[in-house]
Amino acid sequence: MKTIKQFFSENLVVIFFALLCLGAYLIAGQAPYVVVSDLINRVMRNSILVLALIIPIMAGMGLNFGIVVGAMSAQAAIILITHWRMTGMAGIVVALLVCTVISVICGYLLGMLFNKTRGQEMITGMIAGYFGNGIYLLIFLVLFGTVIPFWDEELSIRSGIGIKDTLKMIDGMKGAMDNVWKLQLSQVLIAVFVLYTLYMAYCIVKRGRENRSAVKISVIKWLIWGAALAAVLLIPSVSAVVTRCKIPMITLFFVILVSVLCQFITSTKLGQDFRSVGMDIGIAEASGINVNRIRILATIFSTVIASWGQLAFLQNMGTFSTYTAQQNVGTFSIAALLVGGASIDKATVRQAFIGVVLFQLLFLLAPSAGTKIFNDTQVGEYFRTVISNGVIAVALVLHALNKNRKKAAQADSI
Amino acid sequence: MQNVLLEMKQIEKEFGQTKVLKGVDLRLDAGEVLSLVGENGAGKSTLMNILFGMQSIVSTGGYGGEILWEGQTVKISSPAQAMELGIGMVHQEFMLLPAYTVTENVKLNREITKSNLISRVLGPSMGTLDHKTMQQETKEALDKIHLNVKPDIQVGSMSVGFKQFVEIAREIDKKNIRLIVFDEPTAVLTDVESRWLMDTIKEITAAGVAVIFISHKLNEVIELSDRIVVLRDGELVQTLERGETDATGLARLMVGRNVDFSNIEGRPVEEIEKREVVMEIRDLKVSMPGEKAKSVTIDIHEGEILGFCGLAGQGKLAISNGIAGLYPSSGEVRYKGETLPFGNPLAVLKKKIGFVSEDRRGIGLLLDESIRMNICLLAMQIRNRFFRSFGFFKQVDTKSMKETADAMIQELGIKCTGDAQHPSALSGGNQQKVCIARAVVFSPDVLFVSEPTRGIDIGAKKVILDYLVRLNREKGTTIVMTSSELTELRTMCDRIAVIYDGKVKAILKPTDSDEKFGLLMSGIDA
Repeated sequence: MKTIKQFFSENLVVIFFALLCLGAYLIAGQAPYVVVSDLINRVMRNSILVLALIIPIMAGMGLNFGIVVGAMSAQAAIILITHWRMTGMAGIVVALLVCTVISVICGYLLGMLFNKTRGQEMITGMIAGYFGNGIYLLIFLVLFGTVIPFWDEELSIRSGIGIKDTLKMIDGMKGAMDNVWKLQLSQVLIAVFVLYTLYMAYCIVKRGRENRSAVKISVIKWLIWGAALAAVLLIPSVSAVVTRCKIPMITLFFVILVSVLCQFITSTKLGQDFRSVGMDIGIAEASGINVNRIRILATIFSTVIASWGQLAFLQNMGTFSTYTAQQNVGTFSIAALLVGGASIDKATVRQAFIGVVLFQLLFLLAPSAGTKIFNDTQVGEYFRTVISNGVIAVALVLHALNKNRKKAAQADSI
Repeated sequence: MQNVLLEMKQIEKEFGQTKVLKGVDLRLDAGEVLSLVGENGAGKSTLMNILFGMQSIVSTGGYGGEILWEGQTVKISSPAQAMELGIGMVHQEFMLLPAYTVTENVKLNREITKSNLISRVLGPSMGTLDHKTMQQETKEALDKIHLNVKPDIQVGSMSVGFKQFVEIAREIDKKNIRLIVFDEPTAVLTDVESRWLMDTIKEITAAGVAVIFISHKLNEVIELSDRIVVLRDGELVQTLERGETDATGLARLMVGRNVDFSNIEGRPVEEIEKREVVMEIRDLKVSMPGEKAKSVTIDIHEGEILGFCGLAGQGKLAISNGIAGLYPSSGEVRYKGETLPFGNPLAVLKKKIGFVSEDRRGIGLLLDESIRMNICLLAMQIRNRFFRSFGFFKQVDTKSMKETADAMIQELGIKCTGDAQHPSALSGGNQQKVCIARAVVFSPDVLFVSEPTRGIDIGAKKVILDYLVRLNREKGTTIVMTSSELTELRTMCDRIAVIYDGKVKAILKPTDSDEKFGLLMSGIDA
């Protein structure tokens, strides 16, 4: 009984949003296929941005609103490759390289700024985002075509100064990563299940002999998942959806790669340093960890991953508004992570994915649910904004309350 | 002649204007225990921070003098460098991360890694953690100090004593360790644990590792030390070899200032104790972090000056802070027959009980308001003074505020450009005078004063102490003063309560001997 209660109290946020999504789905009454394919699309393009937030949280720097800077690096990279007329995977690879270089530099500067404003990283990150936006505007709206010689039929504003405010990627760039290889959702599910089976068999062979009950549990788990998969594939109404939905495999691999990278870092010496610094800067310093260096590294990682995320996002969209596309990146990603049950001082890859799925689901259902209830799409739009900002506010308040409670408990125990 | 491990020559250090170390010499051989003894503020921690290359030293201009490590001159500028030399430190506040396991804490920043594909390219910091080996080595270190805990439990759930030993295990685990500094290790331990720690220290030194032991528990110091260095006010008083002194002699050396007894203001205790009791404190517990009061029971008599003395961390500061309502407290405090509520500063102030905090910049002053406002604020808030009334409206009476403030500035000799200046620009001594002025303008019947002379110059000190005595004699205000400076308490108080381990250890007369104060403050019955 106690464990169930615990489960609920620990996952309150996730459960609340899951119910909200369910409600919105029932009210909206959209076709399952539309919802699922749209959701896949959105999850693929948003996941990496959310993953970018994990490392700074681990290093005790809170929610990194500074990922906006990473997003701008990606936009700069796309402007360049569009100017160079590069397309397809080649274009993606070059864009990746360019945005990595820019975001490493930006991340380094941002990290130095964070070190100067210890304890106020979140607000610093937010302001750095606005300031970065100013520099971005200065470069692409003022300096391009004046100080920096630049002319491009497609990109430049007629007067010759600055880049157009809507940037349409050239043919072959939209979805360059997505369209290389697509598989049906059903095929992907089967492949995942096969991998899972192999992994489990490996585990049983390797250390199953000593631990019989563990073997039993994993076999039961395997049976349940197998049954669930069979059900999904055999029930006609569901199977129609999973066979029609397509998954962009390269993008999926990219997302998996970044998550594995995040997971891998946590198990390294560097990850341990991130955690040590995150728990107590003073103690980390006294044990000889170069705290400033570690915090700069954390910021660089975050900025680079964010720039990759924005790249994946923009190639999926194909068109973006040159000067405002990055603006919501910070808030939306942070809100998504928090919906997944993460907090200011703890976040995992799993929470990031749960959060992305729930947040994007709500995002895509809210407008039509709003239309159904109030006969007005605007209400749904409004609802989205309220949720994304509200979630952040609630998370901050909860964090403050928790911290106070902990402090009080600590004072009592002295 | 043993081989000399560490020599510190003529070490000097100043923070701003104040010189906290004035040429201290120290020598330590391998496998030896050296104890540093002295009152709070004598410079022990500063000396050790210099040895450990702490940021607080480096960023304030470094130190003067020379450090020799195995005969070589070294300039230690970071903890990492100190560790490389083989210097370890068991800190007074635990340097442990509560959410980590014992292993993770012991191996903090010395994690063992396995190389993998990525670490081969990007360097060892990308290596995967080798939990198995780390676990094993930690177990060995724990065995060495006979600590029987599992290496994979979380440190946060352990008792204070065990945490202390985990810290020691961490130092032992360092392969190149040559010297371990113990900064008041037994302050938080029970007697059994202290005993165990002493045995551990003896084992460590038997293995050839030198130990610097900082403690206020003089019995332990006497038992352990091969050599004792006594510091007072940043100066080396004496270096004693084993067997040269006992606890009493040590206490005298530690406290030993020549109090000029002709200057003493205190009145006979017998007379004081005949007076009416204004405040009864019964079993007062205050959970002020680092200064916990555990069970304080004492009577405060009408019109007396009562002093609270004691070493840092023993809880003397918690008493007035708890009564003033600033920290969670329990127990009972009765003022003139009525029970005082806890955690309600306003109610306490309304009963005309004043409090001058030891944290004058944090709690004491509104740094960005005028001196005038600072002085008059309490009286305005609590006593409704300095207002002119117009029917429903009240207006601040700036004129009478200015008169009062000017009078106080005159009386206390606050050096400022005028009553409109902000206290943030004043020196520490003058800020303190503003704090006292505020408490006086509010005309309390009982005034609690915490560390009124901490960090201020001698001139201001004298003005403040004289003023407090005058306040007591002329207006009959009962004053309860908490101070780390025993001398000033002894010159002005009628009675002095020694606080040890969160309790009143004894109530002494100002004229009692140095040894008596020294021993009682160290927790030894005299």
